[in-house]
Parts: sequence; structure tokens; C-alpha cells
Amino acid sequence: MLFNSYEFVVFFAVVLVAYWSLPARWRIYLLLAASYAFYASWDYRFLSLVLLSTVIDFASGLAIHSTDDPRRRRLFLALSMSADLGILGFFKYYNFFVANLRDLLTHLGVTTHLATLDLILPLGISFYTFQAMAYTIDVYRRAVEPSRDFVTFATFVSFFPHLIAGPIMRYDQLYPQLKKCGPSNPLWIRMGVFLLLQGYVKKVVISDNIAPVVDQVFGNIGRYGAGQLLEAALLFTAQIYCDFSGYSDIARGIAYFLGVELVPNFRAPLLAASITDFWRRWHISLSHWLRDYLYIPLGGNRAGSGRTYANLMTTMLLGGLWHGAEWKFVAWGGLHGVLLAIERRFRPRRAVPRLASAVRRLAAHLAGMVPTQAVVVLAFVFFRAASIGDGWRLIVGIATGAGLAAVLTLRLAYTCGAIALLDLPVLLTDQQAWALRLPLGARVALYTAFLLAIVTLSGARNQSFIYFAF
Amino acid sequence: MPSRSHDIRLLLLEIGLPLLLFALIDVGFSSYLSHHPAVPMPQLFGSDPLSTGKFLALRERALQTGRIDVLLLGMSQMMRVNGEQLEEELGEQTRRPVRVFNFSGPYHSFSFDQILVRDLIAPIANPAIVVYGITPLALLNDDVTVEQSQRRADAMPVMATYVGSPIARLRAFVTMHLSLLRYREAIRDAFEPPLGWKPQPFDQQAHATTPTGDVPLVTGNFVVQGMAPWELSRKKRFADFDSVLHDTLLFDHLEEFARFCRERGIELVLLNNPVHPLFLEALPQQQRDYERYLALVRQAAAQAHVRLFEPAPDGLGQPDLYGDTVHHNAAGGAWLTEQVARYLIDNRLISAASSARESGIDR
Repeated sequence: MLFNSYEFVVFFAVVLVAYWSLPARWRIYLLLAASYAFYASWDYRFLSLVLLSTVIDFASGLAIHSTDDPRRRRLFLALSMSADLGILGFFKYYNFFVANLRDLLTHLGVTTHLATLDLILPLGISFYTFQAMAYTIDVYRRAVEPSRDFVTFATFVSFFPHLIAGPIMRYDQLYPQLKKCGPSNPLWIRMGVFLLLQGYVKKVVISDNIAPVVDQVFGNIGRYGAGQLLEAALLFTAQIYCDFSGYSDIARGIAYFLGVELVPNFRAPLLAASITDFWRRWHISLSHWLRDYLYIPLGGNRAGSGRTYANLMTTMLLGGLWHGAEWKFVAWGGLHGVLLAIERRFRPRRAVPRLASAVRRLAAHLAGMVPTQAVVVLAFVFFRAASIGDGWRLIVGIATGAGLAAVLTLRLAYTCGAIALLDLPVLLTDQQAWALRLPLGARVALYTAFLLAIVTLSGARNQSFIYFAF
Repeated sequence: MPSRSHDIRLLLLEIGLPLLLFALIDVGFSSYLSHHPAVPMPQLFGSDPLSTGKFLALRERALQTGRIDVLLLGMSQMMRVNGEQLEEELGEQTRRPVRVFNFSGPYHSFSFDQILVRDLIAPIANPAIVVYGITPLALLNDDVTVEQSQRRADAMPVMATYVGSPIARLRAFVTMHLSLLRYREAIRDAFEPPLGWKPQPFDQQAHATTPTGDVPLVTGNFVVQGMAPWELSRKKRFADFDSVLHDTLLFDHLEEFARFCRERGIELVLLNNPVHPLFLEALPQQQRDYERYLALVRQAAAQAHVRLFEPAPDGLGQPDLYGDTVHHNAAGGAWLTEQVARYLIDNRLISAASSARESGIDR
């Protein structure tokens, strides 16, 4: 049941009417039932994994909290982490490690009979596992009190708007809202309307229309000239951004209707002026998760510059691997790690004096934005290509420069124009629901334009969301 | 700090006004469409504008008459049977109004047409008689399984208009009632360079579909002297005729279609469309292969208990009645229409169908 399907529209309408009709105490049961039904509509067999993860972390939280003995607390935490990472590792990384180990041993002249398994990656496993793990770690750190209400906790893990592709919510952000299960309010619904419309425009109008072109070029790299390869690389960056941020917008919009506020996951990352700025704007909930539960526990930047760079690289490499069990994702993460390290090494020690005029500030921003986005696009080539080798071939193809003028297509202009239109206000106002600040007439015109675009310009086929694969 | 009532008012305006504006734009667009003949067809049947034109004409017709007596089906050679002429002739002969609709078109096949009749035509106007025309080209066209045909049909926005899951019906309902959604692909195409409408081949013909499903055809009265290059391509496909006969699903699908018609109370007439004698050049062993084909058609019709109508017993038509080796010209179309009318009258199919309707037998 994709967000961009009629099935989901009907499902959500039914859930919404029921949610608004029910007394507050029953709403949590409705949300849990709806979330499980939503997940089961993909593959009911994997519902047991969601439930298992829920039970493990619920019990672990209580067990850790029940004792002050540091060794026992560590033991319970370790058991919980092992179970969570064990499930994730088995379904997502088992074949990757087995295949690589087998290749390595064969290379060393050792014959093995390690077999890969015919595994299906359960939908959203990386997202809900990270969310549940964060809860257990927070309980261990005594940052939060453990939940004693299984139904609400199960809803916290499986809340359907963000179950499949985030944003990854923290326990202290989401659980109290679910515990109250209060009604929504007109302001939140207005924000929800805007985010829903904007999310659908990003997904079905921008991303889905680009997808066939990107698939075609990335699937046949050798057939295209530099211009078309460059266009495909640029379009893929736009595609993955609009696909993922569109999902996040829709998820947040839906949640607002249900009286729940989810954290923003994107803040105009394609207008970022540095790689550090990019990671403050791209997949924010994952960046924060990696910072709080990986980078800082590794020592962060408190143990000398050498260690800082090592921590940065470790975090980015694992962040890349989180996306999928393939070396190309590791390469993508690694490339960003290197770029972040370079930026860190050469950034000015003292704060840059604030530029007086708006024009100069804009010029400075653009001066940073252009090279930043160039390397972002370059790195995404590896993310999308079938392999690191294919990604390299595409970059070499662009570098030949033959027929580079072919990059200037109307399609690319539409795409860039649409993204700029949606993201410039976010950059300038730092408001996600920026449209609510427009005069009513402009807002009505904007929403009508959104509706028209969704109905008439949406992609020919419903494409699944890219991040569902992670 | 804005009050709650202020927010509620804004919320209602923010939801209501865009919806109202959207509806107005849709109405305006519908009006524009009706005054603008160069607009491409909506892609209700994917990239097949002729079927879209026919479906919209049938819907319109069914709203007025509510029934169809004779439905003409088959590939493009059946488009030469003139529905309007057939309707007139049958009406004159039976002295009662007879409704005919021609839903034949390029690349139709038994497996696809079964889905078409089941899911789209019958729910609007269950036909009493289906006249289904075939030529040896049908051997090549019925080459996919029923499941593959179903998948192909499922991709067409129109297919779940009357049947299917509630969600599919909802989707189809919305598609049929919003002009902006119905013309979605045409609008999207207009945004590709160069900006503006780009009528596809057959769009103008599809727009001109008559209430009897006829479309204007370019069928000059000239002498066919050989196969055109596009016709010669068939020669390659028929090169291994044994394999074609072995691999085709035509006869299985014919049997299935016949069973389907029986269950629905539809009288099926299989029409063996005569071809131009030069068509035989497309077959490796020419006359011999064609006779093998004819024998198989006769055998399949007998096994499926289907009436087989052969206007030319040897399967070969009069050369001066053709525009190419398969399609009749205007005179040939008129001749074939007369033949169909005579067959239906002589075999009392029309009167039987009409009596059954009048006596209230549920078909």
C-alpha cells in the first residue's frame, strides 16, 4: 500500500474518520491496528519481526531499568542490541558478508561451501530497528523512563506514517504524543494539508517523471554521451531527494492529521553550501541518530584530530552501509566521510564576519553551493549505479565531455525549477510549512497548482519509494 | 495569536477553495476539449486511441439506447465492416430498430477481447450477437497467455471502470469523471518539447468515431499489385509456418471465448475474413498453408460449437475489393457488410436475439 495509491487514500480516510470519532482512550488501539494492517498489506509474514523487535526492546527497557547493577544493565543492553542487530544483520547483511567472505577465502586459495540464502529484505527494518535500539540505549543512559504500556510502545515502534521510511523518531519525541493520543488542531491540519500536497508533488510529479529516464541511462551507460550521462546524474540527485523528502512530507502530513508531530527530515539539502551543511539538511533523523548513538560514543571530536577523522569516517562508512549491503553504498558513505574530513581540516578557525548585504550573502552562499552540489551529485552516481565500476564508467563518460551540451534539456529545467520553487522558501525562512505564511490568495493558488500538477502531471506509473529498499 | 475559530475558518478556505478552483478548471477544460478537435485522445487504453474513441462512443450510445444487438470484433480488417450500414440493412430487413457497434481495431485478440467484453462492454450493454472476424494474422496476434493479456489490460486506466476491486472501481470512476485525469497522459505529453498538443497517429480517426463505432478510413479504390513493405514483414514472421501453427494460442483462446459467450448468452459468429489472393505470398507454401489454416479454423469452430461464416468458401476475396492484401477498400467494406447482414438474417439470428430480448429472457 504505497502512499501514492488509491488503496492508501481509502485506508487513510477510514483511519482518520475512525480516529476522530473514537474516544481518546481507544485511539491508541486503532493506531496500532491500523499500523499493523498497513505493514501486513506489504507482507504479513514480516509483521512477526516487527512484533519480535517490539517485545525485545520493551522487555529490555524494563529489565535495564529494574536494576542499578552496571554489569547487569550492560548485559541487558548487550542482549537487546545483539537481538536487534542480529535480526537486521541476518536479513540485510548475511548474504553480503557470506559472499564477500567466500570471495576472500577463494582468493586466498581456501575452498569453502558457504552458501547465500534466498532472503527477502523486510520492509522498513532498518528504520524501526534503529528507532527501537535508540529507545533501549536511552533507557540505559537513563535519558528516558522505560515504557510500561505495551500497546503504546508497540505503536511507537510501528506508527504507520513513518514505519517504512522514517523519519526515525526518538522515544521522547513520539511516545508522549501517542500516550496522549489527543485530537489534532486546525493549525496542524493546515500544516498537514500543505505537507501532504507538497509531498505528493515531490513524489508523483517530480520523482516519478524522472525515474524512467534515470533507469534508462543508468541501465545502459555505454550507449549515452557525456551530456545525457550528466543529465542522468543530476536527475538522479533530484529523484532521490524528491522521492525521499516527498515520503517524509507525506508521513509528517498524515501524522499532523492524527495529532502527532514528526520531526522534519530534510531542509532544502540541494541548496546546501557545504558538505557539513548538506548533512544538517539531508535525512536529518538518521544524521542525528548516527551522531548521538555512534559518532559521540566513539569519542566524537574530543580525542584529538586523528581520532576525530577516524570517528567521522567510521560513522559515514557505517551510515553508507545502513542504506544497503553493497560496496557502492559504503563507497558513497566513505566519499562523504572524506569530504567532511577535508572540510573540517580546511575550515576557517575563526567565525567568518557576517556579510552586510543580502546580495553578498547570496553570492557567498552560491559560491559554496555550486561545488558542494557538484560533489553531492558525483557521490550519488555511486549510490545509483549498479556497482562501483558502473559508477566510475559513468563519471569517466561525463569527463570525456563529448556532447556535453545535451545536458540542457527542458526536463532538467523543469526539475530544477520545481525544486528551487519548493526549497528556496525553506532556505530563506527556515520554515517547513512556509506556505502558511503566504497571503490566503497566494496559498489557494499554490494549493490549486499542486492539485493540478498531481492530477495531470504525475508519472505514468506508480513508482515505489526508493528508500523502501533500505 | 490567531484564535482557534480563525484557524478553522482558514482551514476550510484552504481546503475548500483549491478544490472548488480545481473543479472549475476541470469544467473549463472539458468545455475546451469539446470545442477543440485537434486535442489528442485520452489514453484510456494506453497507446491505442482507436479503442478509446470506440469506448467513449459506446458509452454515449449505451446511455441513449441501453442495448447492443450486434457487436463486431476482431482485428483491423473488421473495421471495414460498416456498423451504420449494417444497422440500416438489419433494421430494414427486420423492420425494427437494430443496434450495431463495431469495436474491432488493430492488434485485438481473442484473449484481450474477452476481457474487453467482460469488463467494459457487457456491463454497459451486453451484446446479443458477437461477429468476430479473423484472418491468418490472428495466428500471430493471439500469442500471449490469458494472464499476460490480463496484465496488459490491468495497465489500462479504463479497465476497472465497471468491475474489479472497489479500489480499482474508485480509480476508474475518478478517471472517467475528471477530464483532467482522463487526459493526463495527453497533458503530460504537451509539456515535452515542443510545447503543445501532438496528435498521435489515429487520434483524428478516433475523435471521429460514430455512434456505431465506425471510424473514417482511408480506403481508396486502387488495384493491389503486391505487398507493401509493412506487409512483407509478415512474410518473415510466417517463414516457419509449422512453428506459427504450433505456437499460436488462437484456437485455445477461441474456445475459451466461445465458452465465455455461451455462459453470457451471447451468440458468437466466427467470421472467416477473406483475404486478397496476393496475401498467400506471405505464406511459405502459399495455397497449401492457407488451406491448413482454414482447416484448423473450421475444426476449432466445430469443436467450440461456434457458427462459422465464410463469405468466400475458399477464403479468397475479389481482388478489386481490397486496399491491401488484408483490408477491404470502401467497396469491399460495403460488400462484406452486406454479407454479414445477409448471414444474420438468413440464419434468423437477429430475429431470435430480438425475440429473446422482447420476451424478457435475461441475456
